[in-house]
Amino acid sequence: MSAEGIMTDAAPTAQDRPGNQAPAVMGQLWRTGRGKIGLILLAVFLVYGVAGYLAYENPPAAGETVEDRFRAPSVDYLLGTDNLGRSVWEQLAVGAGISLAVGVAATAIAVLMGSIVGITSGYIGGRFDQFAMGITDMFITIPALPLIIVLAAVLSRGLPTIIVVIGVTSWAVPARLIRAEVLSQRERTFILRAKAIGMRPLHIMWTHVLPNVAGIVLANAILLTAAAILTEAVLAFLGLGDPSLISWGKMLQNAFSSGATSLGYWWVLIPPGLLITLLVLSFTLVGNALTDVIDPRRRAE
Amino acid sequence: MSNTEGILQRQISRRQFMAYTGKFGVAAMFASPLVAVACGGETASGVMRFGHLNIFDTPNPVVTVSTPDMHWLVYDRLMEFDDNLSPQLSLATNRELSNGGATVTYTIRSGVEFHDGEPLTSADIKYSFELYRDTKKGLFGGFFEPLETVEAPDDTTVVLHFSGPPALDPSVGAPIIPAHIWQGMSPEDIDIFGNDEMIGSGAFKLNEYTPDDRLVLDRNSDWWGWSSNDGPKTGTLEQIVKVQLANEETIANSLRNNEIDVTGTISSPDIWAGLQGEPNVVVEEYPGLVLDHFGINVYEDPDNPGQPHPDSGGNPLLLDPVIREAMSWAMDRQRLVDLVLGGRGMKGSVVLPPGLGDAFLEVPEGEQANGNPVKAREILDAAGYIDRDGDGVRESPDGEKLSFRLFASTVIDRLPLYAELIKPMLEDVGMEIQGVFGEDDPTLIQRVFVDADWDMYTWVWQTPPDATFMLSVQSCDQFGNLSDTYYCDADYEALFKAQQTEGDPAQRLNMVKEAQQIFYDSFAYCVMAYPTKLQAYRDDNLVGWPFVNNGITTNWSTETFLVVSEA
Amino acid sequence: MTSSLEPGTDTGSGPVDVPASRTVRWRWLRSYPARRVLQGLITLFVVATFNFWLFRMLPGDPARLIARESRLSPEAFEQLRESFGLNEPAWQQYLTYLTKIVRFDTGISFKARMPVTDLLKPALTNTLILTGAALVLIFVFGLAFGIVAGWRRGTRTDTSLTLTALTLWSLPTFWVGLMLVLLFSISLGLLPVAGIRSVAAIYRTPFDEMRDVLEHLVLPAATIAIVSVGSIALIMRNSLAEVADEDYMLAARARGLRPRTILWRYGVRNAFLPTFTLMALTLGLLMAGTIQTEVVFSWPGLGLLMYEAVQDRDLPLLEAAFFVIAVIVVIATTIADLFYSRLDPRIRSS
Repeated sequence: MSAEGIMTDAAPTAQDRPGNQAPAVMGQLWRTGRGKIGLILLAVFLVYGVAGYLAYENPPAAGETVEDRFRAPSVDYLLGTDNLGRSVWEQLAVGAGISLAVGVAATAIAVLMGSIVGITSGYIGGRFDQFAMGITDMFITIPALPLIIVLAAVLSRGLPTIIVVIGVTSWAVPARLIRAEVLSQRERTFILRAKAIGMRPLHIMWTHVLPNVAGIVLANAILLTAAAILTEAVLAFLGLGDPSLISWGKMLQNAFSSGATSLGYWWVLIPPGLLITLLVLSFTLVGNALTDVIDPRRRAE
Repeated sequence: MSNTEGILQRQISRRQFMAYTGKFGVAAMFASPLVAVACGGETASGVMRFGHLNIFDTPNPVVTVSTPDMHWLVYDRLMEFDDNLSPQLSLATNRELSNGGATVTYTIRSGVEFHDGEPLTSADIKYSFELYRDTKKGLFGGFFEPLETVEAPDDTTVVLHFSGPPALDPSVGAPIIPAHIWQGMSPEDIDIFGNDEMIGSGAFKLNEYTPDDRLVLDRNSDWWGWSSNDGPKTGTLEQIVKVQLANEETIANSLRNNEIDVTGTISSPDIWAGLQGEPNVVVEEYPGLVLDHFGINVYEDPDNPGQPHPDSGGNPLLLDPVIREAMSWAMDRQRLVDLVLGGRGMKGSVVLPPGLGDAFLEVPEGEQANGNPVKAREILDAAGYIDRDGDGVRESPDGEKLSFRLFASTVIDRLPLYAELIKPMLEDVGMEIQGVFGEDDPTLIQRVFVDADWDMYTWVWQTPPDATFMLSVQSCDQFGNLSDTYYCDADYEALFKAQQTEGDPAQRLNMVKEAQQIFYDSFAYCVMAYPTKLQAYRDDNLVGWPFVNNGITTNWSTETFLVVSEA
Repeated sequence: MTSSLEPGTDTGSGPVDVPASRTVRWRWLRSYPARRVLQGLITLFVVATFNFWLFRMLPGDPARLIARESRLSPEAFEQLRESFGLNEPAWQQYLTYLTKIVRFDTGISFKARMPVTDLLKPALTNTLILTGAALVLIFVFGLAFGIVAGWRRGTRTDTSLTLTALTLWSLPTFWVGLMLVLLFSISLGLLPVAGIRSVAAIYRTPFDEMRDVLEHLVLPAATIAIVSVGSIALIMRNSLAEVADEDYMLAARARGLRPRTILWRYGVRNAFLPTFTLMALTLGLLMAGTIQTEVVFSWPGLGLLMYEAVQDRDLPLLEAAFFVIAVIVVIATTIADLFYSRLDPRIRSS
């Protein structure tokens, strides 16, 4: 999604420090304002998602009578009810888990595929690299959302479909980033030294290359998660989501298709979108700040 | 793709038409309003502006599967439905049955001309009907299956020979197309024939058609119906402009802003209710020809009564009527109507919808198996379905769990909603519902109608305005075709067949009602609700709006367009 | 984005950008523009191939999908297969398909029974109108915010602009559309909210029609722009940040030119072109926003067509709309890449 402008202008540069830098990076991340806000928000959402999953059924129970439909917020109904008389409050809570699950699972697929392509391509180099990057560029060029819609439209509807479809259409950017990082690592002295002492390529990749690209991969993965959450919402809104589960995008689709906009039923329209935005923002903030921390050249000062 | 893609919809069945027209009305429903814009909206007199989600799929009447009201305005038919939804003579002036109802002889008007001035004769009818019979396409093709031969002994006589008395004489629906234009086209050509000229002989003729945007029809002053002695049409409409609007809120707002005069079906009760009290706007609720049902797989092995058919993938426990009856008792239909339809509908009971008028069997409130979970538990207990292991799910005396799969088509938004509400109701009486599986329509049609691999599902039927179609769905002959229960009962079958040839209307009505009662008592269907048809129109530009079951537009009757007049 | 975003890492075998006089006749094939165009064509070829196989690799008999009907007799199926060429070898079907695609013959719509091209043409125009209007807004506001942030790098203004940009990017496009409807149409009653023109409108002058369309265009275009403006602002800001360290900027500063002069004469001018081309590269992302916006506002473009095709399971229409969107994006990115390569010779010669 439109994140790529943000994601890829982070032209990857090398880290000078091999080894485990995690605590230091976390510290730096916390010290950036964006990172701190993002991390706090993320923690809140994580708790909210888990609590929502434990506390309520998905989908939440419907109302009883015709008066239960589209109840305005009140003391009894904190955020009112929707077209089936289901509590908006409960739907929001159960939707958090869906968003998080889709975001993380789809990203895991994308990063795994991207890592395999990026690392092998960068490490092997030569004609294989040319070929692999040609394919990667092609995937980057093909507009993602239309492709996802076509795939989701012909496959069976369900959460696994959504996750896989988003995952397999977003591996190209991480592949590019990882490959570039691997290329720059390949010629570093400690890797050349490892080669010189006869370590096997796989072993070198595992012990030396991977830890060094981990930072940039993580930063990118966090941004990818944000994009995946947005994509899930869009698919649900377009009616391509899992029909038997409530997600924030599905809530908005329900509201939209039952006429809530012209009737001014703001309580079914504003809260889900606001939560999507905040959740996506928290990932974006952390990812953006992390990119800067890892790549000091781009830091504001 | 190849150039013969036209056969895409070859053999689309009535069943699918019912589903798809339902869908055009409902699933494509979309929200976002249109606020008045200063420019536009000038009203000429005698113009009806009709806003709908779809104009139609194609101007080609042979392949269309849309609700064909616009085709019917352009093309004449031998018979038509009046505003009571009963068939009346139209282009034909006389209809005679012989050969036990299997042969129908029509006398047609003479001197009728197509819009291009060519005369309409019995040869055109013969050509049209043979084309429908041979192509078996589109909405009308399906009704021509029993037609064997057509004779045109002279210019004003047509004789139809059917293999038996037809369930619904296709002459009431089939548009008569001009042979001089269509002749010479191969079936493949006809499949993809755009028919941009739409030359017919009907009350209105084509002025302008922009796909997915607008259709303009002008009054055909030469039409016989405007001056016919036997039932002249009194309407003064000079023009009909049907505009395609993207969603129901736009339709509602356009009506509010006097940009259109009448809406098509509004499926959202909330959007419809929002129009109440607007100046010059009349909101109306018409009894519908639609039933939302919960269909149960009762596919039994005819050689081993009580045992499932080898081809069935359904749970054998569903063959026990007690379990099905308990499901019906467990279902709180008023709650379904209230929540899913916003109260705009009737609780479901029998297999015919109330829009059929007299043919609809009203089961007294006290005799309906509905909304009583206590009763459901009682009859399950009495039949030995008891939760023996304490996991909240009952088992049969043989230890089989009452665990079922419930499917819902996603083709219409409300179907998964029903399933979602029904699931806890059934769980509440000790059944396990493994999941509500939303499936798109083609997949679900395959699952139910072909593979018979389901337990229960939620779906919707729309019927023509005659009892036979909906009754035929449960006929033993319809396995693998229309049947969505694989129900087969000798008594029902006999009544269904007998009513088709019964000449006495009162007698036929009794048979139809008795058949409904038998099927109701089988509990192979739990009809959830009969949604009413919600529409609205303005009464400041045009007057004389009739009340028609199933609605004033997008219906089997085109009477509305022929009787409204300028204010 | 494409390879050009990572100058220096693009593949290639030595300098090929030799003066024309010394070029062997076929050598142009190895020039960057030729390679880039070829890459675009291959991409479209892959999309077409994907469409072909998607249709045929769905579970079940493809004839069944075409028939949209499951109870055909075996003979009828055979006939259907034959008339669709489905009983020919797969590769032969595939070749037929490709030759048709080249002529933009994308088949017949399942639902409308007319050539898909006839449905696509008006939709394409409408989509280009909407996307064009959105691009203008993004361009104007994105660059303005980007310049301010880049110029005041490190200040509070920069931080808050960056935060705003990230927040805007995090908004779901369709929700922004809904909110604009709620605010400007329902609450304030200022603007129309659906469609491209008023229902059954009669225009006295072309100007009337233009005004009507413009009124309908405001909210959808704004929806797309609001979400995308942030990333363009960030790109501009970062481009400015990058050129800030260039020698000519240092030189200009050393010469004691006024900061404002340096910004406009050296900074913006040099940062502008990369930003502009990067914008073209984000067109694919813009299409994502356009699809959602068209659905919310019922704007009769490619996105709405795709949406309806999904509802109707009209596969030829769905695939064709996807293909057209891919063509637009590939053309735009190719041109942008070529443009970019003129600016940054490292790409051509790497």
